[in-house]
Amino acid sequence: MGRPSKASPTRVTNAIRALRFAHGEMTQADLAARIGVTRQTVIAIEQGRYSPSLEMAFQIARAFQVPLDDVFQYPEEDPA
Amino acid sequence: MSRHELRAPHDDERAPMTVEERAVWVYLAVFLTTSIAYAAVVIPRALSQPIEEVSWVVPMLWAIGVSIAGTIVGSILAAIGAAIGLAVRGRDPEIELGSDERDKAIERLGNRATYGVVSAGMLAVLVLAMLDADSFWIGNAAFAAGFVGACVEAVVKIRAYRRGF
Repeated sequence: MGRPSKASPTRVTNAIRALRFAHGEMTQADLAARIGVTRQTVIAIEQGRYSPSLEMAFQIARAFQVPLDDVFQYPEEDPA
Repeated sequence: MSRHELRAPHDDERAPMTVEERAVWVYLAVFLTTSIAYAAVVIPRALSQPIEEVSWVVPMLWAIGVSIAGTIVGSILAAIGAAIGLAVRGRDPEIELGSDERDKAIERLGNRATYGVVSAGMLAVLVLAMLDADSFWIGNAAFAAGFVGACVEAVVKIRAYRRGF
């Protein structure tokens, strides 16, 4: 499961890297071409430096043919 | 080199800056250079003669003109240079040098950061005009607001590109 780096500005995590490898070692460039963005954006999302729009998030999930929750995760709030 | 010979980058190859990020760096470099050059011309004049006699309009027009032209030409040359650099290494520039929703989001972020700075600058200009200050102070306050706003915009964008947002 992907984890954002310590300096990540978002709490959203993702499993894109793992999913790419599970899908025939898809490269960042392949995924970028499928969803119509630059490779730099795929890298930024993987590293937790950019939270994509909802539309792009669905496109990524569709590229892997998995539900959105399998790609992106958001931690549960700690009970007060 | 034909397009058939160009390949997609591997994951372990360093991703270059996008065209938009390059343009931000060019914008920052050009604006800093022209603003420093303007200050180097006008400040000695302001220190050596009465403010109302200082000739600042022509240097400012040059600074603004060179900033606009330099940013446009510099951005185009930077994009061409990056595309050639990638093509020479056999990589397809189209995959890495485009722009997408992330660039647009960073553009909005930069514009939002600038808005407050420029608004404060315009307020200062308004106050100077109300106080009937010399046109030197009014013109240069507006220029300074534009300079600070441009620097804030560029720094916010570069930070967003590098560290995320």
